[in-house]
Amino acid sequence: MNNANKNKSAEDEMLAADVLKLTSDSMSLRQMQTRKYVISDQSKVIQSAVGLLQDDGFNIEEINSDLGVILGAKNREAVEAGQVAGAVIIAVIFGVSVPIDKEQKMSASIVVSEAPSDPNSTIVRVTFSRLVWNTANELSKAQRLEDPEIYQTFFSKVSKSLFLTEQQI
Amino acid sequence: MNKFKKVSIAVAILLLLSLQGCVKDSKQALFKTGDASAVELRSFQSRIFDTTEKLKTLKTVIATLQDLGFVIGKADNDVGVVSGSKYANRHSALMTVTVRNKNETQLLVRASVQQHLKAVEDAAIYQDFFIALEKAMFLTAHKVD
Repeated sequence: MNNANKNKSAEDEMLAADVLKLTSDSMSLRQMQTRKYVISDQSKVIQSAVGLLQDDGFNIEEINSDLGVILGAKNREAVEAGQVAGAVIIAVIFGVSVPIDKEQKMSASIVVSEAPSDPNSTIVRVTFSRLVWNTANELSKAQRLEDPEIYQTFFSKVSKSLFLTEQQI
Repeated sequence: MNKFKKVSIAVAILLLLSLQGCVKDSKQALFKTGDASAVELRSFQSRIFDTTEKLKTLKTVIATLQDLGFVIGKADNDVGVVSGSKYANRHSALMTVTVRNKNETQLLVRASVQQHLKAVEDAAIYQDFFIALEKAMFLTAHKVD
């Protein structure tokens, strides 16, 4: 197991039997992935989110304006210096080549909805995830991206694009 | 015994062991192969809710799936389908939830999940989902007769 996997231990420990159970961190993840904006025009928020995904090079794969669902995806390189260095060391010492991460498909799933009991506000929840393939063309990672900075960056972009400030909920 | 021989024997044993779970024809996977009957499957995958608000129910299903760590991949309110996937390193689960009118006062919600290359046929796992959905809907989920 490599270091990246160890760091994501919480995710790795998902048991098949617990796949549909709420966990202790479900609510903190919801907070991290959600912001409320004082705006009632949901289609404007959807348009703005689509524009932001395009800014970051995502293709729009799915959109449903009635349900407020947007799915964006992009394929990018996934070569990391640390892995390359590790592979080189192993190749030198043991004379075998180990596969390293090569490509990734990154996805952004955004859901825009009316704030409960507040028709003047709109709630935006975004989830980022990625699939990574290695040089042997095997799927090496399928993970949710849960770094708070990613979400802070995204929501500050939404705020700027809507000329509004976001609120934690 | 040299190192190469040992490795070859280990590889051969692993190969033979891996054959244990093999089927004669992998195309057989096209149709259901699990233990539960279609009737049993429908009964633990489905619940009835006393509401006719389909759009609101679909939105609640979406929010519940997000809370459970799923990424929403597809959603269609005409047919009433939401699909998502949940990643936890190399373990990924795929889920589809459908919402349709049961009668003039009720909706039927059906969920189906697959993980580890198998359809989930464990009633308790679906029960977990409906418990979470009930709370989010502020409604009781009735079992299908």
